[in-house]
Amino acid sequence: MTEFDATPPRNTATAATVALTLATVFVATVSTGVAAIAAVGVLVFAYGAFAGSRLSVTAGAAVVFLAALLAAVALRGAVFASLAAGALAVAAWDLGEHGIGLGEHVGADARTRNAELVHATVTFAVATVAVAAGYAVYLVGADGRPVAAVVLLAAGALALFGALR
Amino acid sequence: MNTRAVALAVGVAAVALGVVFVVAPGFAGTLGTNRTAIFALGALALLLGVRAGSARRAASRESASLPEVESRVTFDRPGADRTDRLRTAASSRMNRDRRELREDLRETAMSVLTAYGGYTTADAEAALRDGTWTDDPHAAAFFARTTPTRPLRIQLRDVVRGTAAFDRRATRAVAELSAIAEEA
Amino acid sequence: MTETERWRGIAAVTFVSAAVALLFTAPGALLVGVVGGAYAGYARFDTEPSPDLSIEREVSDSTPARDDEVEVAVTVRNDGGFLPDLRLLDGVPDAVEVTGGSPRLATALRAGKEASFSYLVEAPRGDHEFGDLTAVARDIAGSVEVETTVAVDGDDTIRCVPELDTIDGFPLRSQATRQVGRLTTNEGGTGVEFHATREYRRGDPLSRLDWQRLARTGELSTVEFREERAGTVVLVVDTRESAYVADADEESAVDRSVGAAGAVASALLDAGDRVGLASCGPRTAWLAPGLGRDHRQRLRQSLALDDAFAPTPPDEPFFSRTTLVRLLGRLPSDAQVVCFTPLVDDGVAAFARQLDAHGHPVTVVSPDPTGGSEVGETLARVERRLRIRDVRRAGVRVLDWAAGTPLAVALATAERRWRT
Repeated sequence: MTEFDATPPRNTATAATVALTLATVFVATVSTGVAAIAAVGVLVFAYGAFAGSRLSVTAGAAVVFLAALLAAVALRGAVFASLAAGALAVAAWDLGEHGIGLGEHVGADARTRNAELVHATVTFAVATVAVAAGYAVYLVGADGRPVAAVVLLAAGALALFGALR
Repeated sequence: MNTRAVALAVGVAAVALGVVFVVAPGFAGTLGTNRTAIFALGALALLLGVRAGSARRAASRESASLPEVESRVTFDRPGADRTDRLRTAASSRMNRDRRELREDLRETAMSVLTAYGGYTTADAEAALRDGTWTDDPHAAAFFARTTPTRPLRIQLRDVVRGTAAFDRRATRAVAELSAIAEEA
Repeated sequence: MTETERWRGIAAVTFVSAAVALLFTAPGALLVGVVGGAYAGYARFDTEPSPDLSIEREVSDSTPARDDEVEVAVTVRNDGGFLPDLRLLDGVPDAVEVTGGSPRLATALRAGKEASFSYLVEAPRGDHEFGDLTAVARDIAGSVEVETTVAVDGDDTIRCVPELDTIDGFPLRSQATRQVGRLTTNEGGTGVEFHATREYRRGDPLSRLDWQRLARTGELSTVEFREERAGTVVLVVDTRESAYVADADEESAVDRSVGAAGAVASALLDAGDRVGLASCGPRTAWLAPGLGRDHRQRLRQSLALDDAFAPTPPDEPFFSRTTLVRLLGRLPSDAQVVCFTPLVDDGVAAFARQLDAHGHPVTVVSPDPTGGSEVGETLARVERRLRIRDVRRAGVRVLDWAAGTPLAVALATAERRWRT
């Protein structure tokens, strides 16, 4: 008597966990203390990604993202590391949650490779764009303009963007 | 929605201010190092962040729900509904539910005793009332007119485990009746 | 189209980044907020997918034998635009079980491209119709979702008509026939007195071979009996909703009853008796008693395909009185009845007793589904024993057929008891 197995496909869960671990590695290059916190997030995330718990996946990725922010606070110059970590955290979340949805719809026994590949490719592309854009802004903005101006400008733009979302 | 308007207003103000500072750096000196303003903005951003987070929790994630077609229909075991009925009666507030169940089981017990136990109808009735039809005290207590006092140890165990005496006695009574019927 | 809302709250990424940056005066943190912006834009980039698919299904064997594995292969072609996230579920029929592979697929399909998947199924008796395929298409970010059902070209039914099981014979009860002085024996159409012998014809039942003549002269010949000696038996199967209960092997009592009815029909036809079929339940079936190869086929088809004997339970109400009256009206006056019922409630027990009282000797073949140690299950077992006892005391012969035992074995044990 076969029953439908709604667990997420293993490949996606693995890829998502690897991405989040990579984010933790980037955080570790800045501060091992903060990375330790991030590691806890990775464990929670891994459980959620393989077992199919959206709450764990979101919580785990959120912890790692916060760690990325704290890394930026800990070391003011670590722009690239915290950017990469932050982007990978969100990408990992996207993959993990997508895998959970796949598990619910088609289950662990169905073939899912094409769908997973396409989705993973696009989400990593977006992450790359984000990192590139962020780093470009950093390079442009670091030529003497008043810090407050940059901060206000960026904050304002993002608040606007958030309001429109 | 309200937060949206606030965020919109704040965003427009912040962008305007930022543009002013970029164009005329002189102004930055007066306001740029104003810690209170920056702190207030930070708090606002945090508030908006929390708001977005709770919006996520409140939002109902909708997605297609696909039926399970892999397995064929399975059926209950016979008597599965009777177990449910017993459990409901055991935890019900009304004594009447338990009384009705007891009387139904009494009829079955009478049949078992007369058919397989070698009792006459009158003897069976008496045996059930006095609890002499079985060695098991819990089973006997189920049909008996007088309930024996439970030892303190058993009373405590019931409270801790949450087992109703009714449930245990009924289960034991049925098990004893089954044994009588099987041995015949 | 549904908004999945999976990206809701992504703005929090941006806001929290800004908050950390402002509160700790670390502009680097603000840059991380760009990630939020990028993903928010990605999520907002939703284009509602409009799936336009052609589906073809191929079934490896549309008429399998019982317990055969059938392979179902599905091919999907994208006749519309690019579908980046497509999830498919084939319309597997209710009573059919998937035993290998998966009837689902998740894929990305470019315009004009094809994808295929296959799976194995096992079908029980009956006609099983496949339903439409369900397709769930999402945009690339997974923000919007469209669910559609798509009609499928190609094979869409599996028909399984199992062979009738074989047992050595089935003992009928003795009864007085209308004709004065004639009594059929316990062995039904193989009474002690014979009428004549004739040359053996292909298809004659082996139980009526003249073995003595064969041993003596080496010739094959068949013993012919007077037709009046042949028994008339109607098999009645309990198909009410309460009969659809499972035993420890997860087999339903109705499935066992139908299997047993087929075996008994086959044995009785071999012995030269006329056999009819009826269903005791809300879905009616009736096959008047008859003989011969065509009739045997009709019985086999009815047990397999008739809605009354389906593997899935009915949901219509059942009127016991009407069914009894109708059956009594149809039963030939000299007919015996063999009832197939699990006896989990009093319904068919009363039915059997009434038929017996009307002059139709009844034998009950009762597959036993009870078992288990839960209190309700034990109670059901006790009550069934009492019920069988009551039915026997009313003069009806009952075969209590334990789960996991072949019918022939249970029958052999019971026959010994019945002869004493």
